[in-house]
Formats: sequence, structure tokens, C-alpha cells
Amino acid sequence: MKRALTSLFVFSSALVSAEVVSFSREVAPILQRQCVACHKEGKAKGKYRLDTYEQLRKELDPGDLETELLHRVTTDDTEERMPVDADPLGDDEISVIRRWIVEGAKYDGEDPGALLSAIIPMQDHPEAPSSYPRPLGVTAMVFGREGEKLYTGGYHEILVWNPEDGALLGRIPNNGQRSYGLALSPEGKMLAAATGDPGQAGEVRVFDNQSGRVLATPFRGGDTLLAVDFSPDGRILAFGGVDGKLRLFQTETWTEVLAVDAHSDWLTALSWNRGGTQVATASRDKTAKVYNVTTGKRVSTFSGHPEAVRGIAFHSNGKEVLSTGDHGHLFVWGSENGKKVADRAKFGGPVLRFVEGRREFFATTPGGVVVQFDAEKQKRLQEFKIASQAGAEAPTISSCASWETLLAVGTLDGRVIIFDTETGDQRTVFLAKP
Amino acid sequence: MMRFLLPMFCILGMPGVWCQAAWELHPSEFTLSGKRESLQLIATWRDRDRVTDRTKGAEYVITDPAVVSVSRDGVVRPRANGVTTIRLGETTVEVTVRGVQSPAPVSFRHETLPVLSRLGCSAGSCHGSPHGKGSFRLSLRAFDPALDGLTLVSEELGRRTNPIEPDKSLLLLKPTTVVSHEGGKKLDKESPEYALLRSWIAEGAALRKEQESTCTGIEIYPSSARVLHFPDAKQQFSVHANFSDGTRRDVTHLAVFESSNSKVAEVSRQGFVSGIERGGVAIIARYLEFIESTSLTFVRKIDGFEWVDRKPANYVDEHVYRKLRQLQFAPSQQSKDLEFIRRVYLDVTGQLPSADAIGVFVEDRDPRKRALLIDALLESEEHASFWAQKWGDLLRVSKKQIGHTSVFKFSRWLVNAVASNMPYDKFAREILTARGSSLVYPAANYYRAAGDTFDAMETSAQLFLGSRIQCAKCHNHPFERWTQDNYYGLAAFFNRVERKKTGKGEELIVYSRQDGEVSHPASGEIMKPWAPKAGAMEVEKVFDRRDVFTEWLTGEDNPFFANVEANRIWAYLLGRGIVEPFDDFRDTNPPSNPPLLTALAQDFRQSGYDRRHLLRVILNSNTYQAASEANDFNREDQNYFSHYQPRMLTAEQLVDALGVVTGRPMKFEGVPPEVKATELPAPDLRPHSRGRIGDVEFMKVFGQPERQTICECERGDESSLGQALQMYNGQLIHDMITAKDGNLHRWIGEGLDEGEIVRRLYLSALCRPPRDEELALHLQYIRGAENATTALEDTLWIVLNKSEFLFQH
Repeated sequence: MKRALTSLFVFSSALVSAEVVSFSREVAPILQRQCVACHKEGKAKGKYRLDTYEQLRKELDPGDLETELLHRVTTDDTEERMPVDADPLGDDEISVIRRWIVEGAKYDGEDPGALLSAIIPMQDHPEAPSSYPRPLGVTAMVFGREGEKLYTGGYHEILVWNPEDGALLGRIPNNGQRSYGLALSPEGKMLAAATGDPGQAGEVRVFDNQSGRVLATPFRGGDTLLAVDFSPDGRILAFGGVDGKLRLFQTETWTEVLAVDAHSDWLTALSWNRGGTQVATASRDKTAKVYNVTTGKRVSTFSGHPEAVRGIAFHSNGKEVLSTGDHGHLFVWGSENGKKVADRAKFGGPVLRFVEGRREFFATTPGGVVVQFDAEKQKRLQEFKIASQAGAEAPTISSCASWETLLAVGTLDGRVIIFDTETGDQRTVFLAKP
Repeated sequence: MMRFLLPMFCILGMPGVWCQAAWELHPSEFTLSGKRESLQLIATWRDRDRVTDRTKGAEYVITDPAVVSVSRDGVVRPRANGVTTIRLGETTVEVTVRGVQSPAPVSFRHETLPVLSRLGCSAGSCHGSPHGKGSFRLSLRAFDPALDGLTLVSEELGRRTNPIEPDKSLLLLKPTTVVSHEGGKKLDKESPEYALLRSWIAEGAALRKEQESTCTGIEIYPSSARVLHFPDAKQQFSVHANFSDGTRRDVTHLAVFESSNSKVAEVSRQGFVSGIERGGVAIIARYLEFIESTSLTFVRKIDGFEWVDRKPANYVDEHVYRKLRQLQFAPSQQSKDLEFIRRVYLDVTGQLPSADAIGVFVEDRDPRKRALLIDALLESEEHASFWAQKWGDLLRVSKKQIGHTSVFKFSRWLVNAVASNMPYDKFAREILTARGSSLVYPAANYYRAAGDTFDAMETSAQLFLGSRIQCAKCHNHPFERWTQDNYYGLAAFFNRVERKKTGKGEELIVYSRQDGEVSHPASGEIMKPWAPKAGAMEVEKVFDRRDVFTEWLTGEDNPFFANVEANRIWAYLLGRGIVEPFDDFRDTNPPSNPPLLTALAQDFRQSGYDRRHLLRVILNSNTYQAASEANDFNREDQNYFSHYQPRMLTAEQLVDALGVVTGRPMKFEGVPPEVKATELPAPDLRPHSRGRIGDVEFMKVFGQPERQTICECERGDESSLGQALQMYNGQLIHDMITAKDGNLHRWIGEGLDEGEIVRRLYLSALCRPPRDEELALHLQYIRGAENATTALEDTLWIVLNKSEFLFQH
């Protein structure tokens, strides 16, 4: 009897729910697209937020058609109408919201405090163009486990290249528009990408390295993610981006381990210590910090950078951190106390990437030059120069990757240049576009 | 019958044999050198001396439509290579089209950046502000193309442009508000600006073209001033840019247009001006670092208005009347004697006329009595100190800036300069080229207040060129032609001035070094001394560069010098400059009556820069002597001097007036007791004492400047609650009125009758006897009161709070 009743109930509610407006599928996308940018945590115009269902319900009651939200999107008064100084919502959008309110303003997600961007059903990303009309800046790169492949961020895809000759080996589709960080898990099975559609959306997506299948999309937000890396034992994935938060997820279950408000501006780079107990973060807010992964507490802050911090790496001794930024310094500071230990170099412009190699560090400096530093004391060892293209100024280096004696450099004009760090020679150059 | 038909021909747009009306087309010929170029025609219908813009909707006839097309708004676009003519009435434009099949990639410098300026992206209130907005910073109005290029294409790993799907570039998504944009909707997806930006991105967002020519200047059309009549109060503008490769391009679709007065007229993004109300306006066009402007005057037929000729007293009236007539304002009648004498005393000497002086003047039957009074006042000591005080304000003569002793020395020097009617060019020269000990040459204190190179240059520019050049220290001036190069070039005249303290009291030695250069902060280039219109100047063997500057300043080729002082004197007398504010000459702030200003400046120059002469000319004009009462046909006028505009007494005038009327003048510390407020050498002679803030505060409340800046705006001219409180309940007023040795109590003690006392108060404060009904009201109050003395004090209080006392009119 109970079972019959249950199935009847399920059946009838299925009938009913076929007509009821779904918050996550229909309402949330409208709010995310048109409203959340100005009404979210950290930027709540008029002290009003609607970036989660919980926030939205603070000022909205079920069935209340007089509610302020509806008034604002339908009024003719240009001083009051939302969205501000832009085209008003379409009639269809307004009617969806209205119906949802009438039907009880219900929530069909799991966690009412979850960001709208997280509950909107995931859709496949657009297909990548079969060939690119113009080169795309190479903003993320990582070598395969054995150095036999080089992955670069493409347009809605990840491209796989042969480092020997620059041949295109494969294309992994269904990715965010641009990638700003790529990382391979220690055993080489998972490929994680920090991606985004600038200004609109961002996500971290994890692929099966062999098949290219999407394994997980642990996070979706309103703007791009910029940095991603696995812990040394591969159990945790750390990432961060435009919203300045540091997030950690377990790679087995894809559950969230930690989400800290690390910075007041973009989180641009991160680095794990050897023991996998701490993560160092760099930010556009001109600070670099160290966090304890277990407790989530901040261990130290380094505030010596006069401008945005763009690159960061733990010293192998685990006690020091190196960081670089827009002002061109290479600072060394104590990971426990945030105090400056040394100022190793000063370049005449931004140092956008700082990458750890086998036994050295690489800093990408202005004028298309990558500088190699000794890992222990950061003595300058070598310089690798990227030639300018005909008639153009020095290229801007936008990504950098290292494997054994191979150094890969990616530029904003779409090229990949691979050097042999032992001989100093340039081995391969190719335009990273299909 | 024929006479009847004649106008008909003209009206129908067909020039007949007898008709003088005709079409004018601009330009007369043009070459379009690429498929994306265009040409904005300007079609003018000229009927005798009246012009009307008929660009929109005119019937353009193209001889060979395969070569070009013309839109309804008069925009010509190329179709195929060739030559053709476009005809309108009897007049034609010859258009040559070339290079239609050649690729025409968008130029970053000449098109992309100008479009961003045009949309307002790089304005100072948006992304052109020092820190930009939302971490996106452009140089102000694109004065730094190299930096802007990096910002747009490389910054933040190139997130702002999308080379694969250009329409998805943040640069386009944001201003169209597809992605939320706090700046609002600035760009329409269907607009030509959108198409241009999109093309630029799609073509690879290149920052420079091969062998790109540079722009050498722009021309605006119409270029000479026009008078437009309602209801045809509209005008299309066009802008042409000349390039170093000899080409000329129409950049009307790339320029930024502005109106200097949006109450008079507005201009659209496409350069189409619509008049709103009668008056004058400057329409400004900007492209790259160039700026040009044209004056438009909008006139309207006013119902019932009829111009009544009146005899001008001198050329001032001729120019003023011409403008008033054009704009259909009727000048007010001449002021009455009582009105006049109070006004002219206050303006020339800062003092109220005594009852005796009033009596004598009113009784005088001499038809030249006003002119004679003016002469007498100009020769007076009070005039010298009052007008020297105005210079004291501008030259920062204060204890804080130049020291106690120097205040007196410099002040005395200024008084002597006015008293001896030192020619203005000599005055400027003495100040600008002052050298030696400040004890011997007090004018050297100018360089004490202007303590370094940039201060000296900015001060000199503002005082003697009427230009607020400060903005150009960091970028090209947002409002006028000054570029950053000009700023540092002008500074090169002043950088060798040395100031050395000798330790002997306040003595300062000012002299010129023989070395030292100014270098441009960005390029490091050594800047040659530069002056407007004269350009860079040779100063190789010159002992003191300031001599070169001053020679140029006071020379015949420099129009600014005489203009600025003539305008300043006018502003002091009429309450408002012909250019207002008087130290803010710029294209975007044109004179309200250019021929008047020119005539005054020319007269000033020809008289040998004789200030007293100029004062005399202005004071003797009908315009100055007009009544302050407006009539139905000039009530709306605030800019064209149809009637005298009342204004509040300045702090110093007020304090002296109060002292005279109450018989209890204020005493100031640091100067002998008989020194009046209008003779004070500086506002800060005594240390600020918290316990006695009552009387010093009074003058501050009424706008006395602190003399810490050279801006004429430092003298407050706004009315305030503080002022009202001082006049209603203030300690100063109270003490002055109730003083036992003041006039009121003395007169009471002398047994004067109440009516006589009231009469004397009116004469003293308002410079006229009370009217019968006023006297009756006062007497009723006084006689009905319990205490006659208190009632008389109240009466004085009332008189002092009348607008008629507080204002000059």
C-alpha cells in the first residue's frame, strides 16, 4: 500500500513538476547572467545579493508579486530599473521569474547556500573551431609525464603536441574558452585545467589524460580560474582565480576540502610545498601568502611586492618561498613568517610566470627572455631569448613549462618555443594553432 | 508682381536671376582613398547674410552613382574607383575615389583609439582616470597610444580581445552590456563604432601599420563663426585631418564633439548641433591630440521686441549693444545718480560715499559730473590701496607665503604701482623678471610664493595668460590645446630661477643660474623653452630666460596678455568677465562677446597698457552705468551685460561699510588702527587665536581669500548660513551697533530727533534718504517701543540686514 501510494505520489509530482519552473535550470541562469555581477559576495550594490538561493530569499517571499525584484525588472522608471543602464530583461525572462514566484519560489538544488553558478546544470562547451582563423595566445602549458607530449590551452579545448617537431597529436574538447593553468596528476592519469570565458564564466575541469573524457568539474564560477595544481601525492587539487579564493578538492571523491578568502584581488598563481602540507598563493592584491592545508589557516603573508604578484614557488627546503610580479622583482621570503630574506633580481618590467624545473627555476621576463636560476641560491645561470616576429616588438611570454632538460615557452602571439637547457639551443618552434 | 515673385524663387530653393540666395557645398572637392573612407558634406543655404544648414535631407544629385553613394545625412561613401560630381542646386563637389579594392585594415592609432575616445571610454571620469576603472586603465583621451596598445592587447594575458571569435571580446561585450558594465551601455552592436572595433580585433589587433603616416593637424568646418536663427537652429559639422603623407581624410566619424554650454546648444556624436536657447556657444572638435572650435550664436525673434537705438557713450557700448540687439535683449535704462554714486565708489575705492559727497554730487548740474567723479576717484588713495589689494590676492601676499616684513614691502610696492598708474607691461615685467634682494626689490617676493619651477610657471600662466595649465603636467590637457610637452616647454623659462635666503631676516635673493635644463618626465628629452604660438625659442646666449619669456608675453604677437588683464578689469567692475572665470581662458570656455574683448584689449595695448585709461573707458560706458533693474526683455540675460548685475559686497568692503555706518570701524592687528579692511596688506597678519575668533572669522565667512593659491576662485562668492548668522546675531554686529562711542549712541546723546537719525542711517548705509512710507514704518516702531534706544539699535540692525546695504547694485 505504502509503495503504491509512494509511486502514485512520485508519479503525480512528476506530472506537476513537468510544468513547474525549475529554479536551477530556468531562473538561476537569468540571474547569473543579468544580476549576479553586481549583487554577489564582495560586490553587493545597494547591499543586495542574489548569488545564492539563500540570499535571494532574504528579500523575496513565495507568491509575493509585489516583491521588489519584480518591480525593479519591470518598472518604467529609468532610475530604478534593473539591470542598470543596460537593456531590460526580455518578456520571457520576466515571465519565468514571475511564474517561479507564484509557484512558491521553490529551490530544486541541494544546498541553498551554493553559488548559482554551481547549481546551473552544466552544459557542454561549444565545439572548438576545426582551424583557428588567427593564432591564440598560449596561456597555459604542461609537459606529459615522460616529456613526450606538450599540452597547451586552446580555444574551448586542450591541444596535445609533439615537443620534437611541433606536430599536433590530439585535441581534448569540451573545455572552457581559454585555459590559464594546466596540471598533470603525479601518476599522470588526470589533466586539470583552470579555465574561463573572460568576464563571464570560469571553471576547473579535470580530464582523463588518455581518453580525454571529463572526469569532474569541481568548480564553476562567474569569471576565470587562473591557477591549478595537484598536491605532490595527487590526493588534493588546489586552484584559484578571479574571485581571490583558494579552494582545495579531494581528487578521489571530488569533495571540497577547503575554501578560503585568501586574497582581495585575483589569485594568480599557487605552489605546493614538497610535503603537501602548505600552499603558497600569489595575488594581484600585491601580497603572497602561505596556507596550512589541514587547518585552512594562513601561516604567513609577504607584502614586499610593490605591485601585483604573478608567480610563486616553494623552495625545496620548504622554509622559503620565491615570488615574482609586475614590478620585476624576484623576492625570497620566509614561509613561516613572511619576512623578506633576499631580493635576488630586478627586471625592468613584469615577470608573469615563475616555474620550477628539475633543479632550477625559470622566470619569464620582459623582452621575451626567460632567465634560469639555480634552485639553491637563485644564482643566474642562463638566459633564453625568444625572437620577435617580423616588424613586431618583443613578444610577451604568457606561459612556461619545464621537464628534465626541456624548457617550453608560450607567447601571446601564439607560438611555442622549446629549448634544451643543457646546450642552450632552441630545438623546436611552432605556432600552437590547428 | 515681379517683386512678389522674387522672394518666392528664393524660398523654393531656386536661385533666380534677381535672387541672391544660393547653395554652398563643402568641401568643393575631395578624394576618398580607400573603401572604408567617407565624407560628410555640409550643405548651406545662404540667403544674403543669413545662413541655414540644410545638410540633412538635401537633394543631392550624383552624376555617376556607380562611383559613390550619398546618404540622407549627407555622408558620401565610395563604391568604385573613379571621379564624379555631386550637385546641389548650382554648386558641386568633385569626388575622386581611389584604392577601393586595396585592403584597408583598421589603424589602431588613427581609428581604434579615437573611437574609444569618442565613446567616452578614455575620459577622465572613466577608464582615463589615474587608476582606471575595474583595473582597466587607458591613457586620458589616448595621449599615450603605446601604453594603450599594451593594455588592450597584452595585459592580463590578453583577456580583453578574442582573436577567434571577435564578437566575444570583453572589449565589445562590456560596453554593449552583454557582460555587466558599471559604466553602462556605451556601444550599440549595430553602430559603426562597434563594426570598427570588431574589424580591428578580427584583423589581428595590430598596434601599428607599416609605414603609417602621422596626423599633422585637423580642420573643422564650418570654421568661422556663424549666426543661426530659430527655428533653423541646427548645424552639421565636419572634421578633416591632414597627414604627413599628404593625404587628407574626413574624420567626422572618429572625432569627439563637445558644446561649451549645453544650455544653449547640444551636439550629437555625429557632430550635429541643435540649438536650445539663444546665446553663444563654442562647438569643439577633437581628434588625436588636436582640438579646434567654432563659435555659433543662436538668435530668436522675440515677440514684441523692438530695438531702440541709443547713443553709445564709447566703443564698449557699441559692441555690447550690437550683441544685445542680435540676441534681442533690451538694455536697461541708465542708473539714477544715487544708484550710480554708491556703485562707483564701491567699485573704484571699496568705500561707501559719505553723505556730504552724495549731497554735492546730486546737486551738481554739470552734465559731465559722472566723468569727473570717476576721474577724481581714480586719483584717490583709496583706489590705489583697494585695487592693489586685488593684486595682493592673486600674488599670494600673505604672512604664511612670504613673511611678515615682506608683506608690507610687497604690498606697498603694489599700492605705488596702482597709484602711479604703472603701465601693465612694466608691472608684469617687474614681477616676472624680479631679481636681487627682496628687501630692495619687493616684487622678487613673487618667486618666494612661487617657490619652484613648476609653481612659478603655473602661476605665471594663470595670472598672465589666463590659463590653468596644471592639468598638463601629467597628460595632455583635457580641455584645451596644452600638451604635456607644452607644459614642460613653458617650464623651461623658469627652471633656472634660484632663490637664496641670506639669513638676514626675511631677505631672499632671486637670480638666474646659467645652467640647468628641464627634461620631459617620460622621454627624458631636454625641453627647449616654448611659448604658445611662438613655439620653441632660442635661448642660447641669454642671460636670464625670463627676459625672453616676458618679451614674448608683452609683445605684439601675443594676444593673450592684453586680453587677460582687460577681461580681469572688466570682471572686477561688472561682476563677471567676458571670459568667466577670468583666469580660465580656453576653447571650451569662449568669451561671451569676442569683439568687445578684442576691442578692449586693443585699446589697452595702444594706450601703452594704461590701466587707468581702461578703467575710465569702462566706467564711463552706458553699459557700466546701466541700472540694475531688469526689464521684461533682459531679465533672462546673465551673460551679455544688458543690465548691471547686483552682487554682494566683498568681505573687506562690507567690514569697512559697517565701520562707517556704525562709526565703530574694526581694528586689525599688525597694522595701525586707521588702516581699513580694504587696505589690509594681508589676511593673516595676526596669529590665529582661538579665544578671539569672533572678528577674524567674520571676513573669512564673507569670502576673504587666504591667499594660499592664485585662483580667483579662492575668494568665496557664495552666500552661506554663516553669513546670515553673522548679520543676524553676530558678536561683531552687536558690538558695532551698541557701542557707546559709535554713531548711533552719539547721535542719541546729542539729542537728535528719531527721524533725523533714521535719515542719517539711510544716507550712510544705502546712500539715499528713506522714502516716506519707510520713514513712517520706522517711526511707528521706534515711538511705539518701550525703550527708544533699543528700538533705534534695532532700526540700525534692520538697515544693516537689508539686501540694499549688503549688495552693490
